[in-house]
Amino acid sequence: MKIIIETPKEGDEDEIIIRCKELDEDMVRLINLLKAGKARITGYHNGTIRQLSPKEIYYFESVDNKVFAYCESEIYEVKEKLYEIEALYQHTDFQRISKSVIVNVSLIEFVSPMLGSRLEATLRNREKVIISRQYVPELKKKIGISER
Amino acid sequence: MKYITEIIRYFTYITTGMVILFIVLMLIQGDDGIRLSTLIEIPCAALLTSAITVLLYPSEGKTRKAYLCRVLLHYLALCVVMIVMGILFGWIELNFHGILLMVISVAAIYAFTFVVAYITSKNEAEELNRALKKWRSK
Repeated sequence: MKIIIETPKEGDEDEIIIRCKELDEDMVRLINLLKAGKARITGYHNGTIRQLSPKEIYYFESVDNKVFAYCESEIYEVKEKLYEIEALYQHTDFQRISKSVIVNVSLIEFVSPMLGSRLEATLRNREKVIISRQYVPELKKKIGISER
Repeated sequence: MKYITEIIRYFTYITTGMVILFIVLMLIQGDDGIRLSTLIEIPCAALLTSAITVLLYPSEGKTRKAYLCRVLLHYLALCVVMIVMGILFGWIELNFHGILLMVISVAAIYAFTFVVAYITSKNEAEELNRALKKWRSK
């Protein structure tokens, strides 16, 4: 695939034009990633407000009716509900892995088994999150494993 | 659909565990035959305990303590159901020895199911890791 980067004329907006013969799965994923890059979410931490890029969020967790965004080392509270976040990022790298957690799949380092049919995902920042049995089929689908 | 798949999965593990346990007990007690009705009773008990497992077994738990409490509750529920079924099917007698035998039997099948489920999860984790590697390189 050829990638051409051009500087726009003065006053013109930045734009991305995709020329492809077929809009295959990889291409759709790329478009969704570009879209998600813009879908920032507001995070609150110790009285400060920050616009969080989806790329820097490792996972979202709902705790006692509050939703938190976990970044590499910081935790931000977000005002959106977990189902709203799920809808917002449904075509991106985010995937619900339990009733209370939505994880950024691209930041999963590896998955390991746990007792009781559960799986545990270790993230790139060494944090661990539990993958509930019921959500394994959706995760498999996300990363291209077709269920037999 | 998710729950039906899970029930079938546990039904397979539990039925296998129960058949193995029956064979072991028959060998210990020196029995050389199995009643035809037992062949129907085993899947019935396995189906009921599978349904209980899907309903009560904790698929997630906020803390380790909460998770262990749910496991204990699940085990106790299985013991109660199996003691009742054991008496109805004539597998045990309603006395201390019979109840103790059933509690130990449930623990043995529980351990068997745990190990089989762990092995299955291990294979699943390996499959996920391979797919993740491929997915990331796209």
